[in-house]
Amino acid sequence: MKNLSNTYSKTIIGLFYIILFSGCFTQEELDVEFDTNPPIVIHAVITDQAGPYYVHISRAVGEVTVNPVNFLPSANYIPITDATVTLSDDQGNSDVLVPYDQEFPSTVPQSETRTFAQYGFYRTSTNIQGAAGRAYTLTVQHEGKTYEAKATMPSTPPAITLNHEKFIYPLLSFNQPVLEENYYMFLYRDFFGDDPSNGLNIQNQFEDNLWPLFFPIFQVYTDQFWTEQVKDLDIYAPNYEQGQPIVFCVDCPENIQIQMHSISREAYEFYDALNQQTRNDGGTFNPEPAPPPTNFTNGALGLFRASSVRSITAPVRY
Amino acid sequence: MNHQIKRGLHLLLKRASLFLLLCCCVALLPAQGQQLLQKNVQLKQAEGTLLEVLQELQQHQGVTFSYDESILPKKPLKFDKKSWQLRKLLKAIEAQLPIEFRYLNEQIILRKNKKGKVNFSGTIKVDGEQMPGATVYVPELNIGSATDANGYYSLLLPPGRYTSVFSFIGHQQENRTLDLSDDTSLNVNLYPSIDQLGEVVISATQNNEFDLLKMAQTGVHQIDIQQVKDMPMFVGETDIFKGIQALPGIQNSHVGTSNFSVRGGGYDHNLILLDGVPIYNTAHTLGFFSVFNTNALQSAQLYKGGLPAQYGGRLSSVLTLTTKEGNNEKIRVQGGIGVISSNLVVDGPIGKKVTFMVGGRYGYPSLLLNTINKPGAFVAPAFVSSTRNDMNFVDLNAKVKFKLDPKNEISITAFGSQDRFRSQIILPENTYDWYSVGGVINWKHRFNARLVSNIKLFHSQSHYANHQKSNLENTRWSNSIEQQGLKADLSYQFSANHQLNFGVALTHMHLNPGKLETLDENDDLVRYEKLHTKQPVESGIYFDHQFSWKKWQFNYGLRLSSLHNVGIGRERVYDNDQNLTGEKFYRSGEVMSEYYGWEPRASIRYSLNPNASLKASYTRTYQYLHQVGDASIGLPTDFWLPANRNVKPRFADQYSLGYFWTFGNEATYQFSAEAYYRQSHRVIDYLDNADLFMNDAIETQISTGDEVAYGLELMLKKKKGRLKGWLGYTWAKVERNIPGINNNQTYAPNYDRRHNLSLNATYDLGKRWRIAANFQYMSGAGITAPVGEFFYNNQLFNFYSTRNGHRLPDVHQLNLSIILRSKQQKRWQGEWALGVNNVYNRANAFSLSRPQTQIGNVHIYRQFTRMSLFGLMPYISYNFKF
Repeated sequence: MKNLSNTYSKTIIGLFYIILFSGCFTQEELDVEFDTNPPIVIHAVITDQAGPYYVHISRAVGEVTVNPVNFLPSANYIPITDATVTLSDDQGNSDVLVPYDQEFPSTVPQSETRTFAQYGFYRTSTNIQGAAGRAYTLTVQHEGKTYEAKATMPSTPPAITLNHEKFIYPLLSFNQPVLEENYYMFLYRDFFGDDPSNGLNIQNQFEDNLWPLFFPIFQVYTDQFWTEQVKDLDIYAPNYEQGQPIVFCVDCPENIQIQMHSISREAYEFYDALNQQTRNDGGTFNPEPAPPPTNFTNGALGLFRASSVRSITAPVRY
Repeated sequence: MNHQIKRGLHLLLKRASLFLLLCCCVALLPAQGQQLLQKNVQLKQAEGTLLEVLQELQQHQGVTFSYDESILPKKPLKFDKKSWQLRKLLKAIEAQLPIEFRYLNEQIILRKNKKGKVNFSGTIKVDGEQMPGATVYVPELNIGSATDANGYYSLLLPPGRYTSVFSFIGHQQENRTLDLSDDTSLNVNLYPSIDQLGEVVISATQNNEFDLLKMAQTGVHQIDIQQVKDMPMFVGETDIFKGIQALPGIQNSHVGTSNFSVRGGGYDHNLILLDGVPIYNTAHTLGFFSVFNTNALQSAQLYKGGLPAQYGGRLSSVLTLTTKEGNNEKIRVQGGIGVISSNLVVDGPIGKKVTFMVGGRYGYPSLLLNTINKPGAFVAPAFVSSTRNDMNFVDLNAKVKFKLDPKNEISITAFGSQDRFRSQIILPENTYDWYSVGGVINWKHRFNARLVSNIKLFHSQSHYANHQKSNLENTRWSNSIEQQGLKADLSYQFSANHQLNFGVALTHMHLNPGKLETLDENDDLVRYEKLHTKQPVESGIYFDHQFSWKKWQFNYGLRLSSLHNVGIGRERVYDNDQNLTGEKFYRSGEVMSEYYGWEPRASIRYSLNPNASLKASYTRTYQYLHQVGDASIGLPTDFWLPANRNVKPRFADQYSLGYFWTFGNEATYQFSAEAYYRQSHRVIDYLDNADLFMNDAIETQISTGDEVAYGLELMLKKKKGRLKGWLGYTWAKVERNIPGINNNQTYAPNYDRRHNLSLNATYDLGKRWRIAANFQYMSGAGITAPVGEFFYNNQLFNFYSTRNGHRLPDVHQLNLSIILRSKQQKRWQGEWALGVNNVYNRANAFSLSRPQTQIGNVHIYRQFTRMSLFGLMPYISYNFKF
């Protein structure tokens, strides 16, 4: 079971024409005037897991240069390091975040021993704790402007059972209420032994509440087309059938950590828009491209998300 | 036996009309003359000229007449008896000749009848087929008319001696002298011009020479189908929509696709009628070709300005396509073989009263694709080689026409098209199927020479399905539209320059905006989900009065249209801040919501001189249906929804002005300049990141606002000679202001192009060779450009300019073809067409994007990509006829 609305989109059909008429199409670099006053980008997640929680702030630019080894920005990247960031809840708790002055883990190649703070990361300074059902407000003040977002944490995701029969990574089954709108996001990282940080992916290199900010796949689902019993959901991109020679790893990960986050509708729409964007052909076979929706005020890009998390660890079977 | 009945009927008719004439004349004879007029007279002979009859009555019967000999018609009179009462005899004479008698001072005065009009009617056959759009013209009166859809013409003229000129493109003009004294029927056959003998004129209809100058309507194009066929088009596939795109005032966002915007209106603002049947899905192969087989079409008219009151339901335009009719002389076959499709059309008579036409086309884009994608073939890189693609289409057209008698005619049209699309490389688990079918029974009845009715009963249906079958699932997503309708149009002609049209239309629709189901019985994961179907009823009633007075012609009418949404159904209720507050349910048959629209239409023409005229028109249109789809080019996935409580019907007001001028020897050149200004209200556009997939609350994904479109269209056309064709130029602008879109700032849709230039010409090189060229220049289409990027979750994403805030580079392209006809033979006529698209290989931008390149799961390197489809590309096709 995959994400229906994604695979039903006509997006990629456009590529058909590239192939059909490949004798007569050209791809070329083109100069487009970049926006001279690009917006600020805020990325913040609060969960019901134990803190601290992290916020990442940067400014959009014309063209970022990316380090091809660790996929971190290497040039033309503008981190915002001097913002005032405040997280508060509806119980009167408030937390002024501080720059996260930790160096990047040495396992991240070529990270040039920079600190997270230099990349624009902030961390909660008190023991503020997320809980399902509560409302949170994030405020970012920078250069005289205030950006604010509100998020209410949805209820905890259902219990998951796993099916190890056919695929390397286990398929997920769970019961979920049909009568209300629910949205979920899945994250995972496979690793060696018992330590989730002992893995080959970038998301293995970061601690618990930080790695979701580095997980590159947005597996978001709506329950609109699901029955009450969701069975054998395949959340991996990609997954492989067991018993086939795996050429991608010599020494293969033994376990996988899976996280199921309950997300709000606006969070679903945000990630869905990012997913659609990676496939957008400029608005021919798909809609006019548009910036993703945001829950921040004052023209900031990005999302402040509050999620309740169900985490599970399972073996990988080859 | 049959013949006798016919003759009897004819006589009866004649008597009836005589009786009518008599009634008119009785009043003219004053009562004093009763005594004289009661007198019985005896004629020597039952026939003779009027002069002979008068002389005889004066000399032998003692009746005195006063008359001017020069006005006496020379036409011989015929009487069915010799013994007459004088009064009756005079009436019999009046009935036969355009004169009248008056009794004054014991003598009878004879004078020319000034009031009477006679009906001059008949059919014009072109190569044996009754042809619409052929013209008849009476130079003395400067009156003309064109044949209707069934090849009939009818003119009301004062009695007298005239010449009449019958003509049709590519055919010899036929001049007849008329001595009209009574209703006259004249059937004319036109034959191909000598200089064009042997030409494969498959079916050609063209601008009626007099129409544009004489008719009051602005913004009408009679599309010359032969010229469209000669146009060098992509892979040689003739497409009526691409012919339409070459006309002034027509735009399109993605060159090479077949959608069109008329005077800045949306793609779903065009009503497309095939013999009166609305066709909703007009695309083959995801919008690159249209579903209409040009060999099966007889004529096409596009109304983009002053819409006749009989049409309604769309904001911008009406395209009326007429299926070809079978000829009544012999069975004829014509066909063509091309790169991506082949077609065959057979037509002819069945007996004396029935004609038929059957046409089919089969398209095989995947054949071409599979061939060029064979491993090692020249085009495809090895890693994309795919030889098991399945992309085919088929369409069928049929028409049968029964001529029951001179007054009744029934024709039945059927249309069907089907597509299958599956790509081996891209989404190989997905199969896309869509089809359209339509049919109409059309009964045409002539009550008399003045009153004609046309009743249509039709059905139309479109269906789309996307079948997804992979290891883990087997699901199907589908949508459909279905409608049945009845339309009655009547026209009453008071005289040659005075006509009234009126009628009603009623349509019932069944719209299924989306259904998702699993086809695997064991799959209990996917819930069967069906969006609520809608059952709107759309109706219209109209009248339209045309009359001319001196140099003026007026045309005004009114259409009252309505939409009723009928239950079972439910509608969402929102408060003023657009928050959902609840749902309202309706029982079966209950009216959920109703909308009415008054649509006044008016046009005026003023003839500056016989060769030039000025026109002005005003049109209001209502549109109750809107198309929902998220692709800019229009896909079969698009579905239709009716207006409802949350999305009110759209309406538009268009004002246009036009100047029309014909010049040159025999009106060879035709020039027109038209300006328009249209205000549209409640036009629909999608909010950013709209989610339309299986969404029952589309109103939350769209917003409505106002749109203004204006422009100037110039067209110069050469209609005769070895060089034929047209040059069109349009300056156009569209602006929208829709709350919630583009930060509430004014913006333009992507097909808004400031300058459009189109040159289309054919040149005859001797008898067998012909060159065709088509050149297009356009401002670039609008795009929402990626103007920067941001880092999120260790990946890069775009942020974008304002909506359509950037422009792609200008588009220009030259296409050429050369057509070689076979030597003149009696039966088989063949025609080779060799063409080249995009001769100088201009890389016209089709789209611009900045896609992410994926490394593993990370979207990272990025590059601006300008896609330019359709570079230099040759084609060959063969057409035949026997």
